[in-house]
Amino acid sequence: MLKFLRSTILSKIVMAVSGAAIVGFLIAHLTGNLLMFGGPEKINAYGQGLRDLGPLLWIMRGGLIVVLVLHVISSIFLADKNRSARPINYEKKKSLQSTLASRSMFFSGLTILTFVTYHLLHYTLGIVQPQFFHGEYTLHDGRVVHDVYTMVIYGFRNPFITITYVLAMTFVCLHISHAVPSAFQTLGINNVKYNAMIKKASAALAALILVGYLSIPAAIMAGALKLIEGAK
Amino acid sequence: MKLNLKIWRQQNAGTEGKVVDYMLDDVSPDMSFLEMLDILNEKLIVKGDEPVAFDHDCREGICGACSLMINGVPHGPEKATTTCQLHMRKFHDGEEITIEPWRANAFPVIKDLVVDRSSFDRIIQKGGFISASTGNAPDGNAIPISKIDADLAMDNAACIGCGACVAACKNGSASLFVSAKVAHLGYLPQGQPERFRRVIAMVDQMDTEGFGSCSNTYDCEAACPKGISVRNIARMNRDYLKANLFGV
Amino acid sequence: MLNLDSKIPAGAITEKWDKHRAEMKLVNPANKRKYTVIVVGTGLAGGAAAASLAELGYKVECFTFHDSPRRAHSIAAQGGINAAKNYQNDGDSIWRLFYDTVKGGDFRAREANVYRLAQVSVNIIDQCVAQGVPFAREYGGYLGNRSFGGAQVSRTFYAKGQTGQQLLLGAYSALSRQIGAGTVNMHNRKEMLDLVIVDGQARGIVTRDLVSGKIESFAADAVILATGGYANVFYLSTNAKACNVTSIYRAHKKGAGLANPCYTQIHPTCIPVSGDHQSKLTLMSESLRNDGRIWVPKSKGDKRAAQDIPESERDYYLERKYPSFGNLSPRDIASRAAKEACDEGRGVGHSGFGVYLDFADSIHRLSEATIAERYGNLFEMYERITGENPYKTPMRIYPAPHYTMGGLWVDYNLMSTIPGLHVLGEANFSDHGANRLGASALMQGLADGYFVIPYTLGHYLASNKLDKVTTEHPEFKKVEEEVTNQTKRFLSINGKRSTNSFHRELGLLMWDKCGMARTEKSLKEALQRIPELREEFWKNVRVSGSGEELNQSLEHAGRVADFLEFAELMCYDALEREESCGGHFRSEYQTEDGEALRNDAKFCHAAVWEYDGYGKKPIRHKEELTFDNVHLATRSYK
Repeated sequence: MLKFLRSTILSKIVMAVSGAAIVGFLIAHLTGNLLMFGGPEKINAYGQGLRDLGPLLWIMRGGLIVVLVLHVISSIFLADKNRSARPINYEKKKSLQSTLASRSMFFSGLTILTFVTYHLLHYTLGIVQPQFFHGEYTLHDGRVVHDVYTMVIYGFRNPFITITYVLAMTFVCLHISHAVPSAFQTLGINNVKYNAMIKKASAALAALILVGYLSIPAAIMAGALKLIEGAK
Repeated sequence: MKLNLKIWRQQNAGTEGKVVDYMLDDVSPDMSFLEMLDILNEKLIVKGDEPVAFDHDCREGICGACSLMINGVPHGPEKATTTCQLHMRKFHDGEEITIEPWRANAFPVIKDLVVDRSSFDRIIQKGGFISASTGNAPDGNAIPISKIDADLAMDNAACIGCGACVAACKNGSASLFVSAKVAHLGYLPQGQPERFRRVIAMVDQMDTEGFGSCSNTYDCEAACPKGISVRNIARMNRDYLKANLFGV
Repeated sequence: MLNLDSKIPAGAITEKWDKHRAEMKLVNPANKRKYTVIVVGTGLAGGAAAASLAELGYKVECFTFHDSPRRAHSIAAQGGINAAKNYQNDGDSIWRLFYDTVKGGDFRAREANVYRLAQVSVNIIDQCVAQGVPFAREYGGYLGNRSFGGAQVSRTFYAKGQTGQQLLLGAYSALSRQIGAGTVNMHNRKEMLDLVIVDGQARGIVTRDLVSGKIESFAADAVILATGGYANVFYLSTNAKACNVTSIYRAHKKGAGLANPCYTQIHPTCIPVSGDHQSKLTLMSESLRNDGRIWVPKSKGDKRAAQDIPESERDYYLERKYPSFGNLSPRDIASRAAKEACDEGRGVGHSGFGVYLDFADSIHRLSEATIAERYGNLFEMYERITGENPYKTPMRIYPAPHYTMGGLWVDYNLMSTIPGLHVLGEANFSDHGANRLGASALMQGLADGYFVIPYTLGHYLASNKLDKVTTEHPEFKKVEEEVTNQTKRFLSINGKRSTNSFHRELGLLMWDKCGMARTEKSLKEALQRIPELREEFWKNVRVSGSGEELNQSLEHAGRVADFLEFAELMCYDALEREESCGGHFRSEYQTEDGEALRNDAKFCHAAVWEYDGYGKKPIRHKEELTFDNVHLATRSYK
């Protein structure tokens, strides 16, 4: 069991593969979130659609949890191994060609994990702002569903939540700006022909995720996304 | 030139060390860095103090014996240069220079700036070779090797085993060192029969020795006096994965 | 009295080795593991020997004073390794390689050994390729060759400019495999400080653990020394800092004959000394002389910058003196000519010990890009060391001690005059005569280690009765005590001068009096001065720290002490060899054109020295050399 944890390279491969799954989730999640711009009907229908998946949703959630756990466990194992690899630090140490992102992966990862917990408590479990969690919305077809739209707008009207969110997304962007090219390297894909492309595509992806996720609070702050008339 | 040296002094593996300050006058810009230390030692000896111990031998950048973390950079500020070939003209008058040993769990300090790098030897002993006993060999031209592969093998075989990659890595990882040997032998047809066995044995020994993992920060590549490429690490990972999935 | 029976097998030279191999006694596989062999040194010769003997099944105890068996100075060889493969179809053969080596050695090597060397040279290449040595290849995938000095065929195999490194790493990998398999017990950072002889046979060594300072004994059935050359007797040389004479000199003191110590090779193209701080010299590949022109100013003390000296005031002395070979004259000739120019006060650079190697004409003729392609890495290295850009100002070069042909005398089986003590590589005197050709050192080291000693050692073990000896034997205790006392003595002197200052002074003296050109007068002066310096050393050296820890000045003290005795032996040898040959140039013995003048009637022999006690003149013996296959002739490069 957990044989991979005995090998640094296998742990890294687990990091890379689970990381890739997480990036996939981030993109899917973003696509869903952007339905905010389609108005309450779209996003709330989407939310209900997910819920209607029933057991399938739980399988997906389960998968995601497994991936996350693997990512976290291997990162802890590696971080511990790396820390003990240099018991005495240098008086003076310069970094040569490493990036800030690459040196701060554990820290950015830890920050993101903390945020994700908070984020789940907020929007999935409704513990952070319970007063906005139980809103209802009537779809065009008459079904009464959970009002995600209103919940999100109330959420980002809170400056503390927005600032936390912006910071967290910045860390996500930083984290994946290194993670994506790094995953290619870990999985053994490093070819002079494609390196430049991988690097550019990764940077673009990181930027896209940042811009995409921040567009929603930005739109709310700017007043482009408004509460539905009559909603409480 | 006048220099303010801050040098790590440590009596032996069992004692604690500390940074000691030394002022050195009359340093010529034409001196090599090690010659500058020779001068310091000469002064210390005549005064009756113990000279600073450091590893060195060929002083022409090939034996891999010299080390030293100079102002936070392995082998000092000049790119693709070992400490023995670094010259004092790269420093300025009055400069403060911090000199420390390589720091890694797998490179314990023996004395002052001397560390024990036998962990590298043990990794090679596990598989960094082609099992060809003396007398086994067919004619040297029996197996043609493409010039490209021969050149790539040579580029990676150029590793001098100094440990700068480990010293530079924030994780104290030996990935660049191990991958250079895996790539050197992996590019050659002679290296194929043991390819999977080799990569597993070497990587497992690397982990056993207590080196850290590779975070792909690539500081090792920048510190390497022989310019070994991190592409080898990807190659090693690939071989290691394949070996684990398909090897016996 | 030394037994100088060379044990050269009878028969035609082409058949000696094959016949000998067929006749030598063998040790059966089950018995091999009952024998322990000590190998000291892990360069090409030692590494190859330790690996090969372990593969055969012997128990090997292998020693290096380095932190790893991969550091030996074989690693620094740049150019390549010769082998009579005739891959280029240019008429090469074993015979030609044999002939070139004997002639290049100025007819002072043993024919039978050289022939065997040429024979096994082809196996070396095969073996190295099999180990994964990345020799240069042509586009077709076959091995490439380059030409080298002293030969008219292309027979040099190379791996960029790092052939020595690649060959050493090959031997190191073979050795590592055996260490991993448990057949070689590797001792890093352990320095051999003496040889132990029991009942007339070499049966072990005494070492100092350089980390703990512990003095230890190791017993074996045979001892192999592969500890390199002694060029560091000159202090400044292209050798690594730790290269020393200790192991062979201590063996010499225990009765091993030391042959031809005066044969020292001076390499013409090294970066000149930049000041008193200089700790070693760096070689620049000889290939630079293909496109560079060597010159000095015509007038003495001309301190103008090179570009300010007009063409008419420059002396291209090699082109002037040797019109047909010009800048490509052989190593010894080019070296001596540079020294003469500098001794006349026409040297360049602030020390005055340097000559220009000028690429301006070639850059003009071929373009800077072409020169960069050919020598780019060398130019970079030069700039790194000197801070001068050789594309703009001419390089400064000066000769430097590089290799030593002399060493412990060995017979055809590579055994010294002490039974059981075998000597390989640069540490022995065997194959290069008075001068070594380029790309032949690597060949000899590997030949000895891979293809000679594995056969001849078995023969020794099988044909001698070896009683069981352990380190409990009183002889071991006695030698241990001697070594311990010497260590204590160094630490107790508490004088005023560092070991390095003595080494430096000895080196300067040897370079002056017994360097590129020697005279009776200079040698006698050296023989006068060396004992004085030695005496001062034992009174006034300062070694700080203790013996029970890593103590680099203590290590150095031991090596310098041996150099201080060995230097005297070298001068005696140079004094008594009243001729000039190869790396030994006595100014009194030269032709009208300044060429080396051999005296075959009196000196066609190897001089083998027997130790006769501290401070006493050693005894000179001779091994007569016969040349049945290559006829004695004068070398000419005019």
